[in-house]
Amino acid sequence: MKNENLNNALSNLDISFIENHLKEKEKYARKRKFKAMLVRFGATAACVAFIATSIILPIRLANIPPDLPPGSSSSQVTTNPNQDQQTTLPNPGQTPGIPSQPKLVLKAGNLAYIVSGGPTYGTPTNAYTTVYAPNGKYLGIQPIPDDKVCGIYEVKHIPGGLDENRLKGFIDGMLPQLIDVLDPNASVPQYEVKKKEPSAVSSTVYLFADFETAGCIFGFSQNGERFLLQLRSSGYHQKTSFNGRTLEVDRRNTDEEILESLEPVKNSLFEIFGVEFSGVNVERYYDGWTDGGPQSVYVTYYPENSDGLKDGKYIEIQFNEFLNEDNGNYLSDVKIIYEYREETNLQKLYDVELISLTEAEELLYKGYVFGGHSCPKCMSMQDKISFEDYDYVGMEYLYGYTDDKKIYRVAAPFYVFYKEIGIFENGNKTYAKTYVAAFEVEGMDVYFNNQISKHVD
Amino acid sequence: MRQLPLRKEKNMDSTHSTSVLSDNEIIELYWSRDESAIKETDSKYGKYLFAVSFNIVHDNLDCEECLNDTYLGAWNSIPPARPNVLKAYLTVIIRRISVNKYNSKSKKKAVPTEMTVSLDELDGVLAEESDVYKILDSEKLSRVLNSFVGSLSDRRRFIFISRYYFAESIEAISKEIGKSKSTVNKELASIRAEFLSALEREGYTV
Repeated sequence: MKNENLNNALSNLDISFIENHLKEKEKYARKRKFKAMLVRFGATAACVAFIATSIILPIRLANIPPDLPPGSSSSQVTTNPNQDQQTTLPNPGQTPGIPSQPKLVLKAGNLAYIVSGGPTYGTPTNAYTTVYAPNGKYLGIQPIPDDKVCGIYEVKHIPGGLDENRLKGFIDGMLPQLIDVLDPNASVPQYEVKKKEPSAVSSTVYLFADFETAGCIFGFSQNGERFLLQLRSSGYHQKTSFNGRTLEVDRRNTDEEILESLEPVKNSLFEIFGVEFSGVNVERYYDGWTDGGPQSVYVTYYPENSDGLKDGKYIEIQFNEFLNEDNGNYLSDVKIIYEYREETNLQKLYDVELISLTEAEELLYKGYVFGGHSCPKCMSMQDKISFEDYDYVGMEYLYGYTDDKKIYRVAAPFYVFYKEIGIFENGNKTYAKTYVAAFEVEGMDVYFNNQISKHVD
Repeated sequence: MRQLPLRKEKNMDSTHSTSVLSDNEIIELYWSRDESAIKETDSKYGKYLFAVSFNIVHDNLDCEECLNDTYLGAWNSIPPARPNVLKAYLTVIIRRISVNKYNSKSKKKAVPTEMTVSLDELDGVLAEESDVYKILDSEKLSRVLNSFVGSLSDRRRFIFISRYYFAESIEAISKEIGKSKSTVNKELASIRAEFLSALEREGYTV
């Protein structure tokens, strides 16, 4: 309480102090930059002096013309740090060995964008992200594949415009059966298709229809080839009935038990949506204060591509905010998501050779890691930890744009390392989680050297 | 292998603003109730505000929430407000929101942050709740605090605000002002002692 009062008093500090503080901050930053410039200038001058005295001078003295290799001019050296972030498309036919099909060359800066989730917080990523779990088994670690080669995919948004009739076809094709399993006494409602206009927050445009029936809120939408259904209970912690039984899972159960209990629901949904998916996954989300298990459990059914990725369509059943009831039931909010695309949205660009775990560890120990979205300041504030004796390693594909132009959205493989760093009162452990590129990437040295200066600014 | 579970799809907008508007232009957007004001604010100050919030709540998701609430706060308060320095105005909003989030989280015994550490330092300055806090409510304490901060020299004020308002680490402050960590620590100890005297001067037994 004492802290709280003091904090409130601090919050009421006159804004003029904050304005002056920000001005002072800029002044200090300018001073630091000037100092850094002096240091760099001094270092450059020292190098020039060294070269002049140790190479040029003896050559001139000996009167021997210098024998420099062709193309060794200084103009080839990249000094622009931003250049590292650019996604390049090599000109086909220019260099022997490069395939005629232009391909996306991912550099270290692009990987940072993929991991950090976009341009909002810039390219730097912190050293790690903290995640919680009772133990390593629940971290959702994906095994490192035996294959030595993995694909780099472009995640394509297939444009097709807005089509009211197609959306109505999507809705009408499933709505009667869906309502029937939720509440056989409920009637199929009349609905209206509306258009979501661009706003300040999102410029995305799509058609949608939302309504409430059978104790649930339905939301359907369409944009190009993407059709989406989102369905959830009408009220907070209101039971959702499915084929006459409450749709729920016991979060204390194992993945296998959860999947088995959902088998009838899965079969019904497959029948209603007219799909058959072979891939399935159970994800659990933990925190440091919720007692009794995970905060959320997500069960996803999806068709796999050759690298095990979700390919354009999936069904996800989400169980959120579990509530321990007196009778021992673990009631949660339920949400069902069904995303459908006529065509696959993952297009393989090319294969990459996976680096070995030993090579990945070398990068890890050098600090060449992408820790998750963050900002320069967050990184400088983060407690330093060593991954030398990490606890777990796996491999994951991450999805994201390659730069702020948002032209290419790709899926690329990363080694993921976990290190246990603490235990919470609810018994969950805290793990530091970080990523290392699973394939050889250009510009690592430039990128990470450049990051250091960004992090302290 | 599959998609990273903890990272949900980001906004898939194909447009991205590249030019940065001036503060006055952004404020005009708020005044004309143009929703792009939020987008422009985010593009100019999003990163900075996120950092301010992160120092306090230390959780990316909470920061995102605080950031969104800050934009909403700015949208609801401009107009009638016409901030002199937009960055400072947004800082004040996000700090209040983040502190509220921090308070609610700390009640749940969540992660200790730099804010906890910096406030714990000040804890030693003040006596038990029965002494000061029963007499001084937040408003009175604010007055004392404002007058105290106003009395500090520029550098000491900078250090005090960095540490206790922005919850920056000693290391970050020392890097920022180009002094050693021990210098910053000494300065902070002396500021805390001065704050104690300031409270005593106001007639409170501490």
